[in-house]
Amino acid sequence: MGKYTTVAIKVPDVNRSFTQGSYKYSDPAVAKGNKAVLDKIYAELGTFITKWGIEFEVDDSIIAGFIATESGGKNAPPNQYDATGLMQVTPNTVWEIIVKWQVMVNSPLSAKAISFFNKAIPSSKNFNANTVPSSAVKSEIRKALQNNPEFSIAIGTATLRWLLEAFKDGNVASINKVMVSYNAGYYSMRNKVKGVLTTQQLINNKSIPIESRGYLLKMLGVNGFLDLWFKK
Amino acid sequence: MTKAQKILLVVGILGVAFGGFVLTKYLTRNVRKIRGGTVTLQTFDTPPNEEPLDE
Repeated sequence: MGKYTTVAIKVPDVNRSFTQGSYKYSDPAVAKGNKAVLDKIYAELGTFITKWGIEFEVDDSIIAGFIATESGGKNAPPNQYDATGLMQVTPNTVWEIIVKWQVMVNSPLSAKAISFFNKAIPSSKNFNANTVPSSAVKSEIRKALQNNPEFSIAIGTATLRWLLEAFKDGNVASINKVMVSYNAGYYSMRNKVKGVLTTQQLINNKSIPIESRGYLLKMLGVNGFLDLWFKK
Repeated sequence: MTKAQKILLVVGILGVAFGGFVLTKYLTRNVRKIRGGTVTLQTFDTPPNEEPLDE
């Protein structure tokens, strides 16, 4: 037994695949390309994925799938929402994860994680839940997300665990709600995804942004990244 | 209890235990342990829906 809530995933969870125009995950050429992306991510970043996956009890398949969906393994500059790095985390999210970890996860961050975060963002020693991050702090976090792939993966994996604990139903955490919230934001989604909901119900829920519903298909659909991973 | 009855009892218990083990293995044949939980691998009998999502 680990110290966190366990997750139970069905792969694929829905008999549907992601489609955007003529781009279809069910197309064998697209599936082959996506599989190559997953393999490249794991070959290049597998050490960090496994290290932080063990720390936060998240499987390598899930972390690699999120990296593939978020950035394709490319360290992209900040987008319009200020999300950046391999796992497209925003500076505000980094702040939230660190200052509200104990409240949300109900278990303290390990000394190993604190030490690593303090090294990557020296100002994180002074993060305070009662304030908001200054622009200088956001800039420091942004630089770490962009320039330090291990930090990007560590904080992205911590975010996944934070959300898994936020969306636990009894003794089991809901990965489908985590996917929607990782993409659309926890605070805008938490009231829309209350109760036990299937992935199909979330896909049909039009109050959830279409991009986030597409995210579910990219991860949990047929030929989604988790399907491709476990077909290995 | 005779010796034969004792042997039958032991054989019966072992049979139930083995049967339970085989049944559990069968029922969880698509379930794999992953770090932090389990994954159940599914297959569908029909091709996937490829419709784009509605706005």
